[in-house]
Amino acid sequence: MTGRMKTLGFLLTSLLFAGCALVPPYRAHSNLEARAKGIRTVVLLPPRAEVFQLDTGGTSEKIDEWSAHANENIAAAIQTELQGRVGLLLKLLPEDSMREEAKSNLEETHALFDAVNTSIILHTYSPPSPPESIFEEKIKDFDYSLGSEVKDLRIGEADSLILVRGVDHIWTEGRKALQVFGVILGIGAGVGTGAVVIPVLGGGTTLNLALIDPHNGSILWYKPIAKGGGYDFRDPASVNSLVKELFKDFPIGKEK
Amino acid sequence: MKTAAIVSCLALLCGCAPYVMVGGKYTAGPENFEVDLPQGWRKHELRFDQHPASRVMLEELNKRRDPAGDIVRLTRDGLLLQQIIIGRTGIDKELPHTKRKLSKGMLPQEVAEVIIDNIRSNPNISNQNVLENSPARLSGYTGFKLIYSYQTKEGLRIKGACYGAVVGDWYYYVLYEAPERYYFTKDYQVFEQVKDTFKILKADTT
Amino acid sequence: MSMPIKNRIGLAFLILLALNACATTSLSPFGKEGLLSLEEDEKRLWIRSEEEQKKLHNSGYLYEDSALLSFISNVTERLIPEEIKGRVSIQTRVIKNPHVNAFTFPNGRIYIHTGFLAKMENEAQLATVLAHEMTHFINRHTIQQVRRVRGTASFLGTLQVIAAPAGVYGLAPLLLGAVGVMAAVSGYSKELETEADRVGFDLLVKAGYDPAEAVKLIEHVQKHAEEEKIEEPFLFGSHPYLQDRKGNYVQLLQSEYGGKGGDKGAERFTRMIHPILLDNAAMDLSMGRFNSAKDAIDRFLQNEPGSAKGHYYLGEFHRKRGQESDAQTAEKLYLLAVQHDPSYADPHKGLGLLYLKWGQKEKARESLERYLSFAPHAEDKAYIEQYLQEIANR
Repeated sequence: MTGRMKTLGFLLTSLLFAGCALVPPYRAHSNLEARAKGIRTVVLLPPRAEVFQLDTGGTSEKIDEWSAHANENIAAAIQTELQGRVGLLLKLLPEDSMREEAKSNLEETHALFDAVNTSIILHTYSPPSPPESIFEEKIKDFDYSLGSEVKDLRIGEADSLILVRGVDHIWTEGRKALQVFGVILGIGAGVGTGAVVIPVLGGGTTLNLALIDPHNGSILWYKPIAKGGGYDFRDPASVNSLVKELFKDFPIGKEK
Repeated sequence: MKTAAIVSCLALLCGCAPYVMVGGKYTAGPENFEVDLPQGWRKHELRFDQHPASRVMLEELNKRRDPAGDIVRLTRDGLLLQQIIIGRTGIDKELPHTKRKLSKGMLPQEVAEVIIDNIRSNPNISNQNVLENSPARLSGYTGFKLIYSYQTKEGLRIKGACYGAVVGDWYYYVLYEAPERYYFTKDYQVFEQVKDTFKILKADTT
Repeated sequence: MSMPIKNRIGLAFLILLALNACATTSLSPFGKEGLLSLEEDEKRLWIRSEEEQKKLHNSGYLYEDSALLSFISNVTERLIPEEIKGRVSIQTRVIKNPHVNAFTFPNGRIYIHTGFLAKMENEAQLATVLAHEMTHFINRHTIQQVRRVRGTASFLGTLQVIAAPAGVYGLAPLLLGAVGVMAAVSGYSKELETEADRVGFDLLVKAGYDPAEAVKLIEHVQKHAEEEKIEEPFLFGSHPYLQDRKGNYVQLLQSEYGGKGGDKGAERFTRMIHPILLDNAAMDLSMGRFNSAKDAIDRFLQNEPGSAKGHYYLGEFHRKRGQESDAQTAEKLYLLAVQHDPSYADPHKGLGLLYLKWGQKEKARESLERYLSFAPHAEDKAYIEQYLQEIANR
């Protein structure tokens, strides 16, 4: 179930590529280069992907089995991606065996990430934000944090954390048919009644990644991707393709 | 992209951008106060912020506290990550979550009590805690200082600090809210400095 | 040659109806097979419910009085039909909220507000509400309602997010997510609510409670809302909803259950909810619902006339309401509280602040010093010390 802030973050991310962007699709902390040299171990926080079914009536319902499957696919794809990089050791934080305090810490980290994610997109990405809402100084000096409390999410003395969030929408057959007939209905209703009918279909896929310095919670590197359709978190090949795109320009570890 | 850049420049030039870089003395004559705004912060102009995504964000913020009396709203990283707010409301104005009212003869402690009741009665937030409630001065007038915290529906813990005072027919406030984790501490000193420069121009105005 | 517009629209309708394969909306109540009959979309609804309940339980809004919860648990148990006892779990929890409301999640968790308990007069009235809510669970009304909403949503694709806590229901934005809001605010269809009335009544009578109390409860809540001009934002307190319940209950009494009689349980109920009255009054005072607060405080004092706390709360009612001569009445009540318990700190503060505002410095000083002597670590000590300093300086 998505909160309003998570929904807003998804909406903003999905509008990212409505226009063409001339600035890099990722954001990097000014300390990244210095910090990146020392990063050998990455802890992947349990990915948080939610997969929703969108039906004909526009009702959106989270499907837990699909979401669990999506998380497995994303974790596997990231493992493959990072294992293909020299000098990097990836560890997975196992959510099932986490202590209560760690689970609570993770929840608070995600809650803050929702606010940070929305702020990053609202103020450093145009589109979707209008240019007047952009804080140029935040692009030049990208500085956001999830708090030093994240150090307690490390395994051992790992020197970085990766947080991944994703949302996917799977259309029912009825909704796919609606897309086909949507334009026809719109025109038909307009001709018959003079009213303008705009079917609101929604949906899409987003995936956001943050590389975090566990010592102070700084986000060292951040990248959002968004697709209008044609991807499916339940399909490993589809996820592999998305993760490959997500990790393009990833600053840690050389590709083999 | 070129068109967008031109539009952006025009918006900034005409002062009709939703976020404007500020710094230095700010005088709100009709609202009877002046204050030094911190360098490098941005002032949010609600009337120019019509983007749909902003509207959703602002609706969420409005559920946490009523912005009706806000005159100046400042941020550095985005309103969800910190806000310094300066404002005033008429003491006869209804508060959003309580039918209790402020009144002229109230002791600062009683004014603080009504503000706390309003926070406690807000159904959109949970786990409200008052961490500090003590007498304080705002622009030389006796008032109160509150430090409080609450949790949003999404589970984000927010911390707030508020200096308030009733002067004449108005309740003046200088307020700071930010996520408790990292962001509250980050700019708390800036907030205290802003509060120290806050000055009510004339006492007892209507 | 292209198809005429109206034929294309008709064809689209037919295709959409064919493709919109919705599950049947009617379901058998939980029976001997218990939870084995849960359907797939129902299982997902239970998971959503558990997520919402987790937030609710971490919100600080649950009323944790073990004696009261045990009492309500016994009433709940008494109502559960024999054939499902032990096969499904039904639990009732109390929420700290002064508004009238009770609601059920599809996984058998019933929630009732302290504000509703404070309005009830006896155990039979509590049982009426629990039986109604229990029926929503046993008869699986939530999943039926969800399927109904899904099945009738506009084919033009008006976006309705069923599982997001969007607060789009207007009247009362809540901490609850969409499942809880449906239960607590928008409610079920008229048909399902009537079923909950009818089956709930049956449970009530089988458990030995007096069904006539059902109508009395509704009338009492209605009278309170009308007299106090209170707008209740939740479903159970809303006027149309109460009218429907009353109509159904009156009809059931007349047709099937007239003259039945039964257990009212007034005395044990009054004893159990006694502490809630002042706690609820405090919330009502914070919200400025003064008459509702006074009702509860008066009821408390009726049961415990010698209570210092009760008199102090009544004094606070007058102070916070702040109408003409309220301050003078508050003084009398604080003095009465002190009379009943001289070491109870708060009334001394109440007196001190009144005297301070009236310019009676010496009396203010005495009362405030007394307050600090009984509450040396009071949270508002800084204020009191400042007042004492100001008095000394004058």
